[in-house]
Amino acid sequence: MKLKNNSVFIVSLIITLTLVGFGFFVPEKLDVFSSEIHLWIIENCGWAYLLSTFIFLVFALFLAMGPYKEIKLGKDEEKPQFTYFGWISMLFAAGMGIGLIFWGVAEPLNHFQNPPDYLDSKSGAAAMFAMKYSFFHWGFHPWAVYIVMSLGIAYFSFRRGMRPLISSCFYPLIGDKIFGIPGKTIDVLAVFATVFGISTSLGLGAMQIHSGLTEVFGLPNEIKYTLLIIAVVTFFFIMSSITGLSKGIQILSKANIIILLILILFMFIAGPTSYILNVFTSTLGNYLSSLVSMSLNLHPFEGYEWTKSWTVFYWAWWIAWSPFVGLFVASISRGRTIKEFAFGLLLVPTLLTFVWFSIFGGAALYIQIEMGQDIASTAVADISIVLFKLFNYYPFGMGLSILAVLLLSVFFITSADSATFVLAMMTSNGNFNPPVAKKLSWGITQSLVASVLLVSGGLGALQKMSIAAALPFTLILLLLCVSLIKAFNYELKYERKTHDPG
Amino acid sequence: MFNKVLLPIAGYESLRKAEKFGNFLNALKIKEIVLLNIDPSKSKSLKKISPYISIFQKQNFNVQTIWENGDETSEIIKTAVSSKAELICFLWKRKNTLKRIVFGSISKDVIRLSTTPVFIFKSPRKKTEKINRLFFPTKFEKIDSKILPYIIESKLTFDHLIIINSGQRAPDPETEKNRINKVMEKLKNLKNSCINSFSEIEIFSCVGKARKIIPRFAKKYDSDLIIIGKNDADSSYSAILGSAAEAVSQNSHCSVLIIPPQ
Repeated sequence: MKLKNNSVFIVSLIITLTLVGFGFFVPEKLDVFSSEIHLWIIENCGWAYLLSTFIFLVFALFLAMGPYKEIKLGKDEEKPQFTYFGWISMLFAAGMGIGLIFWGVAEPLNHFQNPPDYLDSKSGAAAMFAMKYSFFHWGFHPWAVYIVMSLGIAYFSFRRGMRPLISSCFYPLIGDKIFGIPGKTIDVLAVFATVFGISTSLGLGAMQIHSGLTEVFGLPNEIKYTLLIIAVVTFFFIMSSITGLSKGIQILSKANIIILLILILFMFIAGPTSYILNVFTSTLGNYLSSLVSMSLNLHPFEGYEWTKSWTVFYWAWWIAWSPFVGLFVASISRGRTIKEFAFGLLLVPTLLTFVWFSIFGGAALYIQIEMGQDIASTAVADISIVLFKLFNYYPFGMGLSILAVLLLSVFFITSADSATFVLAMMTSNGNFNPPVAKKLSWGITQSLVASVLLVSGGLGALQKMSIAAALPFTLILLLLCVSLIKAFNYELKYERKTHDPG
Repeated sequence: MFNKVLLPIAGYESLRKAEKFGNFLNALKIKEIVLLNIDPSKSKSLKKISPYISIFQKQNFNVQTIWENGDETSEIIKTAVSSKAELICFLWKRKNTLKRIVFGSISKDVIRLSTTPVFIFKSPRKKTEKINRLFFPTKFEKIDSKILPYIIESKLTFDHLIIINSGQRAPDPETEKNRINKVMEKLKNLKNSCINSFSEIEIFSCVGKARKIIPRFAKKYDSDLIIIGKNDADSSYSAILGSAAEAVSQNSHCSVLIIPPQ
């Protein structure tokens, strides 16, 4: 193993294991340390997250409609590698996946029960607010963040022939320094954010699968069963990862989208259909009409605490998640034009997310408001169980819970599978066919991190650490926008026209 | 290079600087100076500018004096045309940023509006008064064909020419390598066209914005004069911040000669 070629792998593995060691042996100290950093960032940098994320959204729209829209993410004659259905399925699985299942019911109910100070809890206004902000947190903005990152990687690797690494995107700005310490630092930071992001997500996902199995099959609520779930899923995602990206993840993602659509369709038909449609239409109108004001409103005079703990947290989380999703989305988007890519990412997964929230969140609010059943308190008390509680109000509740557990498990596998591939690629100098040994080592590491911290209670601390990594990444993403504009300008000015590059 | 130059004089410019300016013009083989004073009271201002007249006369210049009223920028441009001056000169005095924002800069306005070449004179900081290093930043545009005759004519004054191109870095290393090769080839062509006029010619290619790179490199190579073309078709960036020529005239350590496209 050449040390120089594996510097990113070695440094990131050391950082990961050191922090996991802290999380295992002194979880309370890691928690205090990460809480302080996290609190400081959320308290002082909230405005930067809101402003930056809004800039990314405007930038994504500009790319989709501006002068660069016809540039291909690949050579001019290349065709897209995956079909639309395969592409969208994988985008959705990597970008949202477990999180959406986890929060689809829990988030609207949480906002409904605990809205900002200026709204009355459990009021009609709180319900409208809850739906609008659920759309907001899972809507255009996260995908705009992903667009910036993935477009950068796809453009510089497929069109410009560079290595598919985040550092490659900065060649127009820092030139050959991307091969030195500045470039390596960016890549190590990306690995760090990905490992910790995916590990916390897997830990939370395993907890929810466990809750589902407890609800359906009465599985005892003991930690050893959660660990068993992680072990089983790890086996499957490593198997999937070894079979290769085009086979494993694609098959699983397509299967998952089909399960998701079946679940959505059933819930829509069996649930309060017209109520759901009313919720969808009204929330969509509300969301679109107040998109700009929501994007830039921190509510400094009232409701600031709420904004910090939800909106700022989400924005930091999406940004921390962006290296992983960005690299993965880039790797499946070869051959698409910028217009196709940006519109595809902004509209299709967002619409699916809105439908999901309207059906699940809308149905939960119907039960709460129209049927007078207090499901919101369950959501606040235990977010991992509320989806299964909702199914109890539907026919074939147990079947739906099994389907949801299946969905969660497959999302778990696809996310971990994609993360394994991305981590192996990032630590193999951007090799699109990373060695199996690296895939195995990252696959096992992330499951080990999730398990160890689930046992020691350091999962929350780890999540905070990955959010802390989002702060430098915000700056990296902003610089990436500048770098992309420079590269696109160069291409339009000197390569598409006959100007000389003087 | 030039025969007749116009020098706006308010009366508060340093006499030492005026003398150095005279030396510089002598080195450029210039014969005639038109002094322009914009002041409604001719008698008062005559007193103020008479020391400059005597300095330039002592340096063997043919000195002509004109008094005008009105807006300084437009009077300078108008007088340059009416007096058939081939060059508008300014004795540079550094203003701090606040002053520049509040009061503006006449030299910058003249650079922007004039169709006559503009010369911004900055006192040489070198102990020796000998000037011999000419700095020519190029973007390989049409304006080069206007500048080259001045460069070739200046051989009597300068014996060392530095030609530099500052361009935008290509998006990837392979394209960047090709870009640098192309740029170097063009720089060599420019070098060949001036090879008989200078004893030494150096060529450089670098990456960055011209407005920042030119002053930095001109200082690094100890240049005595920067000769730069003004491009009217500059980007929207220039429309906001002013052209690169305007920025270079303000930020460089040495004198700057700006050649307009017309």
